[in-house]
Amino acid sequence: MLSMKNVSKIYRTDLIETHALSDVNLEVAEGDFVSVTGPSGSGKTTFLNLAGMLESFEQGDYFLDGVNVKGLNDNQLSRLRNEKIGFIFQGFNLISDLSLYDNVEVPLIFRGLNRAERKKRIEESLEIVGLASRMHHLPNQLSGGQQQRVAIARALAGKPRFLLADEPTGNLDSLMARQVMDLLQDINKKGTTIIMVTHDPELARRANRNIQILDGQVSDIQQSQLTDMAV
Amino acid sequence: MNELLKQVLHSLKHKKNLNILMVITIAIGIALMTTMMTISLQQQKVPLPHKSKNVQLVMLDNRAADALEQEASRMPRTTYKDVENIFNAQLPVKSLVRLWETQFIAEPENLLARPMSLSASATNNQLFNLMEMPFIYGEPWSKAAQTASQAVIVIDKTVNDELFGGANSVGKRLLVNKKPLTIVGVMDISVHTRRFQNRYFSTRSNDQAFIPYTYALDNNFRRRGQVFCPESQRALSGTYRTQNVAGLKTSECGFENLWAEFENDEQSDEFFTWLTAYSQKQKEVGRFFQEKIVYGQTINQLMTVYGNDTWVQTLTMMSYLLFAVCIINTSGIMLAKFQSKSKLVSLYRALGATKAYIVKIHLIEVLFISLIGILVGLLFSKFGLEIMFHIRRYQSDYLSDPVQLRAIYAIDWLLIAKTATITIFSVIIAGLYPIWRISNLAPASQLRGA
Repeated sequence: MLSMKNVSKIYRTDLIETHALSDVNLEVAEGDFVSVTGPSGSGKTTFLNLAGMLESFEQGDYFLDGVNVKGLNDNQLSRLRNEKIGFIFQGFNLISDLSLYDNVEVPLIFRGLNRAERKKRIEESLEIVGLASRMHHLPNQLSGGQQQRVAIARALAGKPRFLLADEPTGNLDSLMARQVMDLLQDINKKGTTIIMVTHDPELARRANRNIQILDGQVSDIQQSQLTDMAV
Repeated sequence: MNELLKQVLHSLKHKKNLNILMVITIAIGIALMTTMMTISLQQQKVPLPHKSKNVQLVMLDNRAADALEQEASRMPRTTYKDVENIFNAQLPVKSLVRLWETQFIAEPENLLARPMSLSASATNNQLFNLMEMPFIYGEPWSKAAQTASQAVIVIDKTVNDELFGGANSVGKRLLVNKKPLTIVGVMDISVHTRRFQNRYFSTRSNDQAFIPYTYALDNNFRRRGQVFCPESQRALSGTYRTQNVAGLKTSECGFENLWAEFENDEQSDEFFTWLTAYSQKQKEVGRFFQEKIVYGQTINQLMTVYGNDTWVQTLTMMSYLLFAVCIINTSGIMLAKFQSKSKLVSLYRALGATKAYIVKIHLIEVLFISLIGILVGLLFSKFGLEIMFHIRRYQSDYLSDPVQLRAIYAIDWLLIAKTATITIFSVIIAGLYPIWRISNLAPASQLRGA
């Protein structure tokens, strides 16, 4: 369902070429919870951006739910991204002057859902993350963990097949991090595929599949091989 | 659409100060441009535009043989003799008008109002046809009244307001130089923004009254306009202004403006053919000396000389430049504002917004800002025109007619519509680069980190 074949990503400047990802071959099955680890600068975020179609790639093929992403135009990519993928960012990326309700509504507006459908989905997803009672609050009235839960609710509202999480607990203390991870695991158990970039081997161990990126090369590793990659 | 507007409103709330700065910048640009364009447009408005090409000022050059070359529009006024001869020839014309300026003090016969010093003209009744003068009360004097040199007068609305409180004054009498003149009509001359009939094309004031030329001559109303006498009679020109009407009538001193309105080119050709033949005959008897004697200038031709205010044109050009500077500045501010939204737009893109959607949000935002800028600009330009009006009043020592002058500083809605359209297009063009930049932002570029 997520399949990359010989995917390479090269950053070019006038002087140098940086091979961020080289010949990535990866299959992610439906319902997987994949952790992506690797040292800083190894290409983890680039991988996640490619997976989320936030960046283009030079070589190879990428199939998402059977659709070859290569060659899609901006409209098609945006549509696919909106329907299939939910993003969770390290810095939450909530819109500070919008209420939780309005924040969660944003991707649903881009999908073109009607008001009633949007309302239903927003309430459902905020219920899942336990913040339905605070839907009219502003993000800065919440703790960091709660804000990340709102971001998860926003990602969930579109009922995506994939959740792509970039260091989702990076800005949280250990207690809040654990709560967020519990939530992600619950979501995964309900069938959503999750790909999560993390530095933390402890969190990576909670995934059921672990891959490592080193110098742009992707490989599966055993949980026993997980060490603290943060540099 | 509602959702799109919601996004636009949200975008507008972002960096409100920059929005205000953009609105003020656009408004100043528009205000400067519309103020100067309005003045320029109003000044260049040709009197009687629908027939100005058929109305000609007729002049006969009676200057000495060695006189310097001179623009056709500045040829001397016509002598009484020539005007009489032209009228007597009864040529086929739509209107033939003779006119010269005078001034007198008028007061209502009942002395209930303060006397007014009126700037007026002595003329024949065809003037009212030629000028298509709207009458509030009464009508022009009749040909018979004119021939009989009757003591009648047509006054302007402003005079009627001042002396009779705006009531119908037809039939009432004004004392002019202690002699009674019966009011036969009250006109509204404010429809004419220029006093073209005396060929000065003044925008400051217009005639406040008209009296029959016959009565003016018979009662020796002083002649306030140009009295051009040839070298041999120049010493008498002063005398001819205030006395010796009999001498003036037989002199070679030109003091009358002669206007002819033609139905068509054939009439005009016939008129000028006759006039050329007439002038040649008069030349033979020693009255004219120049090779070319007859001149006809349409109102349009005269406007190219009298309606040409280089200072206004310079200021108008500068206002265009300043408008361009304001638009470029707006583009800069817009770029700064949109760049400050990079993170938000990146997020939108990551959450599934297409480039086209981002363009739509920002285009509507730009339109909204330009509309607000236009509205504020209109208020500013109204204010600017008011200031320019007062400056002009001050410059004229408050002697100008405020109603007449106000017309030059009145907002022209067609111009405003044009300016608004130009502004919207300019702001959209100015916004293209900032919108292009923000819509082409890589979705992933701003989403990293805390």
